[in-house]
Amino acid sequence: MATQLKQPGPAPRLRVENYLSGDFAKAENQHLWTKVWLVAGREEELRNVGDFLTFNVATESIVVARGKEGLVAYHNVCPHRGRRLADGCGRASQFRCKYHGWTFNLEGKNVLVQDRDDWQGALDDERIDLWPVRVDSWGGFVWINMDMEGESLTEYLETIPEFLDPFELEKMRFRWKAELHLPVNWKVALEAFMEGYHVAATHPQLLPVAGNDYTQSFAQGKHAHFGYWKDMQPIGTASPRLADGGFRDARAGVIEFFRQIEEDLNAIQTDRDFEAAKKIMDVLPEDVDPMTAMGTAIELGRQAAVADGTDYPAQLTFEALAKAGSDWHIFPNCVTLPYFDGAIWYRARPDSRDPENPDKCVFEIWSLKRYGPGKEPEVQTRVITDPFKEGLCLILDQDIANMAEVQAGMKSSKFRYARPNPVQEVEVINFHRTLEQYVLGQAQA
Amino acid sequence: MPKLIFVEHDGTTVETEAPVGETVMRAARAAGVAGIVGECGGGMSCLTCHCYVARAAIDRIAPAGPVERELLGCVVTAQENSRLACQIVVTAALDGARFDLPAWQG
Ligand code: FES
Ligand code: FES
Ligand SMILES: [Fe+2]
Repeated sequence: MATQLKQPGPAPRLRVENYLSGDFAKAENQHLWTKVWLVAGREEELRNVGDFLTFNVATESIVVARGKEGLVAYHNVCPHRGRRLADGCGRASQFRCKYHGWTFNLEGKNVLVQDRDDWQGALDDERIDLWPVRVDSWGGFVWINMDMEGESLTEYLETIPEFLDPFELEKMRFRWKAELHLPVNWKVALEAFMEGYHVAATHPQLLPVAGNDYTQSFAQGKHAHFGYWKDMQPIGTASPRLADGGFRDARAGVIEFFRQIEEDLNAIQTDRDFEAAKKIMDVLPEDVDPMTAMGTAIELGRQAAVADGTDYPAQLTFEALAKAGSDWHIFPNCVTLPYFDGAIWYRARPDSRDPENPDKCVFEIWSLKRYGPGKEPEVQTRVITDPFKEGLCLILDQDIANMAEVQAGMKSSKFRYARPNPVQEVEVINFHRTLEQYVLGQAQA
Repeated sequence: MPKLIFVEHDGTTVETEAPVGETVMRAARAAGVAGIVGECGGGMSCLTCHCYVARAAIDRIAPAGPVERELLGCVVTAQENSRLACQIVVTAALDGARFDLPAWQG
């Protein structure tokens, strides 16, 4: 968090072409997706040697596997005549092309060409191994970069580890996953989660219990975050936008906050946190102050985590939590809201079945949680192809309802540019500033 | 006909009789052995017919050729007594041979 400076100069603007233009989408495919570190999956999906997953983005497909010496990643294409090699995820000792049977080991080396003698040795000088992709991990996520040169993942992430390492995202496991197929630009989907400015209008039910909903936001290099730093109020208290003071009994406010998050989002705070928070009714007096009510609920949540065989992250002090803020945009296509016991992680990308269409995307929501040993659930991805018919939960449905209306609304002949809030929507502003550097060709590669 | 014994990774044992000249991969599939997939039909490229030949039977089987050895080199679950079942032809000498199956194929 830096000091908020008075914003001089004109109101910030975002080019509408960034969301609507097919040429811009094509330029993203060329200059963005192949040049940056991207989350391909979670390490928990690649636990054993031979486990693999595929990650499709724009026109590219990448296969990531656990090799004998660690993670490996390749372009998912057969050098013979171009068939995609692997599909989905699974376990294999080798990648065998289903077309003519060329086979590649986990090191990417071609180990079998059917009737190789037909080439009379000429294949010896030809490239017939898989094309490697850089792969690394941070936070329990598997990251890939198709650009074989350039920054390491650590360099790319800039200050993110400093702010987010204390959350121990690598110790969390999937609680649930959803994959939504949306008729909107990938950035429209992601930006629904990149500011807190929308909360009052989009999620009014949160105002009586979510504390002061006023946010500030700051760039952190390519990335950015927002938080509730100004006139912060504990959860369970009402937004100053409301004339009534919210719950008279601070305990009831805190419990109602946890209930809403559990039932209407099912992420960040956990079911275990909600159960633990209810106990403040027994251990605190009716006239307890809101700060004590919140602090006690959190401490009971920690004790419940310990009783369940895990704990809250040791390094995650209240100071570290406050420093991180609530929400991070991780350039280009991820957003996370981490907490002691869980986190939500969003990932957006163009729909690879129609990669140049700026009106389509695949948007994923991952709810992560700390589990005691052996208590991690087997999680299947819930695929939703019509999110306007099939809902997820109240808060997310409210966010998703805005998306298609934004994509449609921006096509109005009157709408030439967006006018983001210079204090609360810096994540979005910084996103486009960085994006344009890559896509419009000014990136310092 | 020679009798073959397959022991799945979970310990389930399947015994079957196979005609001489058949491959061990086909005999296993005909007997419904779950641990042998044989996706490529014996073309030696899918590696899903990987098995471990019990010590007592090793000398009764012709050794693996260079391509099979190279391919077995990729197999994550391979051991010294690994073979591709599609490359083993049933002979009278195989009667009573035991094949153990890996935890997974591919
Ligand atoms: S395209 Fe892969 S083997 Fe021919
Ligand atoms: S059946 Fe495919 S390698 Fe044996
Ligand atoms: Fe929202």
